[in-house]
Amino acid sequence: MNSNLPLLTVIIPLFLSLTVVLFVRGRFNQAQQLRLILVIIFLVAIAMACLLGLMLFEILKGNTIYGVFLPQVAPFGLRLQVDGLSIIIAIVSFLLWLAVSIYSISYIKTDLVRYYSLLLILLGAVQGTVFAKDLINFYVFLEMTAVATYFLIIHKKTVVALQAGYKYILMTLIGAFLILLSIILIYVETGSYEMTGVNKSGVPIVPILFLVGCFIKAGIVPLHTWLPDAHPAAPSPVSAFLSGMMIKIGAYGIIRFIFPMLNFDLPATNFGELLNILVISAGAVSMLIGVLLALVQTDVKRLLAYHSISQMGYILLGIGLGTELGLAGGLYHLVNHALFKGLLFLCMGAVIYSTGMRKLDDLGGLWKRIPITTSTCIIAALAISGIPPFNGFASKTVLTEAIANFGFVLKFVMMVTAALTFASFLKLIGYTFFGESKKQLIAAKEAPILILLPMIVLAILCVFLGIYAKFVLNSFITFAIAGLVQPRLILKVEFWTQGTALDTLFIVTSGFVAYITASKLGLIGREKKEFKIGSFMAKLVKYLSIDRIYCNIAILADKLCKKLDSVHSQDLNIHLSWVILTLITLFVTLFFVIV
Amino acid sequence: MVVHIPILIIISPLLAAFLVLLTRKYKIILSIASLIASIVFISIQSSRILYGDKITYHLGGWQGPLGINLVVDELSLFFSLIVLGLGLLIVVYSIPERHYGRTYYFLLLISLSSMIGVIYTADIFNMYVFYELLSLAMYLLIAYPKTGVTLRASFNYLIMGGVGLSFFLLGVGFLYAMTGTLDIFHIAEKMSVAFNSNTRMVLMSFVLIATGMGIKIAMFPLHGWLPDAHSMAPSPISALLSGVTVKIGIYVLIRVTYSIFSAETFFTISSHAILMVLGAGTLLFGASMALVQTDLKRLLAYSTINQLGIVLIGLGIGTELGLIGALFHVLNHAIMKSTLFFCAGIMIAEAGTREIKGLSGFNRQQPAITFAFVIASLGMIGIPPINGFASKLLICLAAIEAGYTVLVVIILVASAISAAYYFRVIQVLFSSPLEHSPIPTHGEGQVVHRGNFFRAWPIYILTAGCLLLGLIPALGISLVKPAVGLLLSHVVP
Repeated sequence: MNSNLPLLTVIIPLFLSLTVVLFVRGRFNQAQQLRLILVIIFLVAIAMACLLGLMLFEILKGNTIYGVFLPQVAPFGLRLQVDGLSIIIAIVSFLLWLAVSIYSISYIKTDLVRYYSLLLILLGAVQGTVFAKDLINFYVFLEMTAVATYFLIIHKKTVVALQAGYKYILMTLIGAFLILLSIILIYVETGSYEMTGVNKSGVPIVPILFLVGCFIKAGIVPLHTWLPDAHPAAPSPVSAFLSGMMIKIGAYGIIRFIFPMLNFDLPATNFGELLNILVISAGAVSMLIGVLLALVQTDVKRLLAYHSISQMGYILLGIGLGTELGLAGGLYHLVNHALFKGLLFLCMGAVIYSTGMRKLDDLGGLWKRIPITTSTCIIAALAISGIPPFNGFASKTVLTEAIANFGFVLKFVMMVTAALTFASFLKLIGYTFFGESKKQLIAAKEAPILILLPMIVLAILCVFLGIYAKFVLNSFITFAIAGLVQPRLILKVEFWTQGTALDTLFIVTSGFVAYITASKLGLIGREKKEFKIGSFMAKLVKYLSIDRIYCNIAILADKLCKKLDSVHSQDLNIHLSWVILTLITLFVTLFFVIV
Repeated sequence: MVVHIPILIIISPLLAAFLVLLTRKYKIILSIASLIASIVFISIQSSRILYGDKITYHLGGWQGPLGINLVVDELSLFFSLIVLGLGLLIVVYSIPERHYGRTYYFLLLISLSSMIGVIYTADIFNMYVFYELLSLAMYLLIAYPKTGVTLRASFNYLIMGGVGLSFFLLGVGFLYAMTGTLDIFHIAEKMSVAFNSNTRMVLMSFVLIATGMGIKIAMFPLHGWLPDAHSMAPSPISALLSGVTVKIGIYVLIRVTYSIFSAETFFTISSHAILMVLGAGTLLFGASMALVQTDLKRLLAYSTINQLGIVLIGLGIGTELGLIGALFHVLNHAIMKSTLFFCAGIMIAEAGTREIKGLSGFNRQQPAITFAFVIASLGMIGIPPINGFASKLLICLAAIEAGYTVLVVIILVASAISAAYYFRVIQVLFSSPLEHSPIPTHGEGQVVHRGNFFRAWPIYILTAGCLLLGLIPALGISLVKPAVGLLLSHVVP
């Protein structure tokens, strides 16, 4: 059915962002600005809740909603489509956005106008990305999110933030240009920007380019190096949205545009299988490398950022399997990860807010002073490690179920990753909230209510999505993927069995064992025992984080250009010689070569 | 009156130019009034022209090949709109510079009027004369601050531009020798005969004209004059040079390649391949040079070379889509680059230095100008929904349709490089200010006008244009499409 609802969902945040820029002026004092912004967030919340609710209601009836705006100005008209997959991701992103903006009211103290207008643009652009009906709309909104995110990352304007932002925007734009190249190839081949074009095109390079572009967006190893810099550099609420939603856009792109090629139900092609292997191995490698690097981090936010890479690996693994269970698991994990990783970043933001410290060494013994933050953080940590009854457990169970037929290696990778995740969160929670209390932290007290409220809500959602896993899976996730696969097997997934209990036991024990062994061996990487330069571990870490390769490429390009600049003469005689030379070359080419 | 409109459009700034010399008080009002008059004249006629009607004006009542004709068709209309629109904004932007005297406005008006002359005239020798007049005015405008660097830049431009225009004149001589006429449309009629009987002469004239115009539009490796001239000139003049003057070279190139050497001949002698190769070279060269510049205006100047490469690629592809993309990019680049140079002017005046490093913290002083700069540079990189994206996309599509996938890869690589250098500037604008503000090093001695009305509004208007054309590219395309139809219709215009 046609309707204006999707259009409004995209336009209202963008329009209100304009309102913020135009009417919340610098001459108001901060309290006045904040009050106006609060009103606007409230308006957005109400409007979006109504719109998304109406659309969800319509879609649950089995309809797909279409919206068009200025279709006659092809190819740039706005064409939107909302189906189960889009609405689920849109709702999750809206919830996370709301949590983040409420959190920001107490957290962000500077440049309110710019911050909130960018946040609103980001909301509109994310909704646009998931609602896009064709490739060009997808691309336009993708770029909008990338640029808006850049300005949010550099919000603090420190040197670190600016450098991280620079790396982020360059890598993301290169990814986006790969996607654009693939879109242009599709357009020329099929004559339209239809989203099925990726699968239809016979040229093998098209899906690969698209996939690589999405990998960069999603922060998949080995294209992840922007992520561990950008997430810690951004203000905590922005990190929460980045990690919770922005990297998911890459996964969404893969589900929406590439998945039909990965699908096992359809007649398999050699190329499709190749893509399957590519996605699965990228996922598995991300899981392992992400968690290994997370284990040695000493900065709380950097640690969480590496976990994002690792968890994105789970999502891609599920998608890459190409089965309905795999897709369901991947999508479910995507939703869950948005909640618990958003929550973790918000918790760490609250810790930083209370103490002003972000190194594990400086923290400790905070649980008495900030009990609410501690408890929500523990819930999120248990969820991300896949401990029942939290939501991470539910989606990981579905994924375990999905890889049952795919050999032992994947199962092994998953269990090891889960155990190491648990170990690394033992370290994070242990050093942050427990252990000896530091002198400088005596004055720490609980953050204001507006910071705590979103955290509590997200924690409740984490518990809810875990306990009612079956309900969520049956009524929402199956529904969301109905357009892509036939959800038959999903209904059979059992969450509370002996197998899952054993898995959990394995994760907890081996996590403890890994943690204790690693800390005895000095491998866990606290600041005091930071690896000596040149030691084996330091080399390993350097080797695993392949950041240096990209930096060296960039440095090389810069050097080459500098060389060109120094060779390039300012001398008039040389310029004139070039003119004569060109004239002669053109003559020669036209006279003897062409004619 | 209505019959005389084409000449009135040229005369009105020209007349005002001489009147400006006589008065001291009313120089600005006169300049603006004359430009507005021209714009009014052109808009009276524009709807008629866009419907496919061509206006021909016989200068002095002399008909045909003997006399000089002024012809306003879709292509001329498109280019003259760019010239007049930006010319007006540039005059407005120059208002706060109190020390720009009568000569400045005189030269500015002369250059604008001769640009319109180049665009409208149908006589190729007359075109040369107008072009020479335009170049003289530009040499003087670049040297207007009369400091050492500007004089050197102006001298380099003078020599290279002079060489370029003499090549052009030689080419025109060959054409005249072959066809016996100087009227573009008559030459075009006789061209096919001349081409079959005397191929080498035709090629010779083509090469001469292409090289001459190549110098004017800073095609690699003929670009030597541009970085100095564009970066050393006063900021409004940089905007004029980068946004408008190089576009005149593009116009002449289009006229010559598509009207005189009609599209068929153009393809027979494979000159489109040459344009594409040169375009790709220009694109990559400009991008990689811009990457390492530390001087803001020099960076913008190299970025102009980069963007002109894209236009050349579009012209070289030569399909309908490619030409639409190229012309649309001409419009977009004119808007975006003038915005950038206008912003750069304000930034340099505020920071007192041209070094990019010295601009730190500019965002805190003037958020609106920073916003405009960000929008325009995003457009340059080609990020939707800003206008640069639309035209780049069209050119990319055209390149793939014509089978040149490698060109698209080159364009995208260059876009990535331009992202690298523009974001290098943007991150400095947003960084926290330096503790010691650097000592003013620029030699222009400009007076600082913080948040001046006349400086800010041209920027706002242009930024709005960037966003409007980016959100609704159909507006620009509808302006460009008739011109492209004209170029590709094999009937002689």
